[in-house]
Parts: sequence; structure tokens; C-alpha cells
Amino acid sequence: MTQRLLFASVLAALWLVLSGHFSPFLITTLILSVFAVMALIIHLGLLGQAPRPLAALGPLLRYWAWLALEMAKANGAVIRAVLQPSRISPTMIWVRADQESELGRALFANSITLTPGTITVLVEYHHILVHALERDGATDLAGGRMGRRCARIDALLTGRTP
Amino acid sequence: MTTLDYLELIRMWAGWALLAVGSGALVIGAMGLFRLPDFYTRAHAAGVTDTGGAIGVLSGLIILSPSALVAAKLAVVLAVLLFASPTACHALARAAFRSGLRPQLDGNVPPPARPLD
Repeated sequence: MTQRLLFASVLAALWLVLSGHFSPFLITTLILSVFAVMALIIHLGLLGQAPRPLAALGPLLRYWAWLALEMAKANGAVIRAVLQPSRISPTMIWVRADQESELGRALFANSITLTPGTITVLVEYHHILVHALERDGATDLAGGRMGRRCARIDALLTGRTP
Repeated sequence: MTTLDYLELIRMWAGWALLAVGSGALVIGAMGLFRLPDFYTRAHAAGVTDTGGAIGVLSGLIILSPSALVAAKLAVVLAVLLFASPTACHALARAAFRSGLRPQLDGNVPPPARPLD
């Protein structure tokens, strides 16, 4: 239920931000369209199954702040590699994805691709094939710092003890 | 000058600085598309445009935007981009790998086989 309310308010906020008008007609269409979309999504079973969607909010925000820092560092590394292409050492490795839920693995795989210098090529159950521009990027991922952070958020979302 | 003027000046400089950093990342990302050797390494250069470039330019525009509503709309664009661009990048890499394009790896090794556990 929390999840449905949360999703409906996100939809309503998106409508308000994109329209920027508050006339009675537009508010009525807002309510009608949010109800219609929610009915469709619930009917099709598209809403995820995280039992405690709010529990991970704080850690998720902290994770995104950490990810932004990692992205800044990785951007610097790739920019150096572009300016000096002889430095690159393309590597591929399989990384373990210990996240239980699909959402957790998607978070991890997307974070890998989002940091420049590493790309998720294949995702097969609990293994991710990663292409790294430099060997350092691959060893860093194999060290598992990012994976552990994602696993912690995944555990909070699914309500298991980390 | 009043304090408000100073704040306005700081806002302007911060916005333009972010725009400049973002544009620099965009140019270097585009250069990387030409300078790096194969498809997969070029995808990393596109990653710089997707992250450094997009975040720099859009956050610069958010700071410079004339009203809160415009800023909020730009923030929506940035949020959607940060979820969509890694997905698109992964889709490209996966399609290339699945259709048999093999990456040139350091030391000319083949891509590793999937671990069995």
C-alpha cells in the first residue's frame, strides 16, 4: 500500500512539475489520469514487490552521493585515457552480484555502467560480465566495495537482515 | 553592492563554471569516440558524455534557471537521463557481445568464460 501511495504521489508531482499550472481543470485531469495510470499498473502487475520501500531511502541517498564521487573520479580516469590512448588496458572480468532481488542487481549493474570506464556487458543471475577500460577499474570492482554497498541497500529493500 | 547582488554573482559564476566543465567533458567524450580503438572502449568515452557532460551542463542550467519551475523540470530531465543512459549503454554493449563482436583486450586474451558456481 505504501508503495502504491508513493508511486501515485510521484506521478502527481511529475504532472505538476511538467505542467506548472494549478487551474481547477488541470487539477481534475491530474487526479483522473493518476487514477487511470495506477489502475492500469496495478492491473498489469507492473509495480515492484519491495515490502519496505521507505526503509532504504536514507541509505539510498547516501549511496547516490558516494556514487557521484566515484563517477567524478572515474570521469577523470577516462578523460586521461582519451587524451593518452596508449595508457588503456581493456579487460573483461566476471563480477559476483550478491544482491537477492532483481531491483538490487539492476542497481548494481546500472551503477557499474554509470561510472565511466566500466560497462556491464552481460547479466546472468548472480554474475555480471564487465568490460573495463583500464585494469585498475576491473580490480577495483572485483574488490567488491560497490557490490557490498548495493547488497546492503538490497537487504534493506527486501527486509532481510544484511 | 548588497549581499543579494553578491549571491546573484556567485550563482552566475557557479552556473557558468559547471556549464564549462560539462562542455569540456562533452568535447573530450566526442574526441574519445574517434581516438579509442574498438567499440567497447568507445562506449566508455560515450560514458563520459553521458555522466560528466550531462550532469555538468544540466546542473549548470539548473543553477542559472530563472524560476524554480524551470529548475524542477531540468532536474526531472537529469534524473531520467541518469537512469536511462546506463541502460541504453548496457543494451548496446550486450547486443554487440551477443552478436559476436569480440573486444580487443589487453594481452590479446579472449573474454573469460562464466564461472560455474
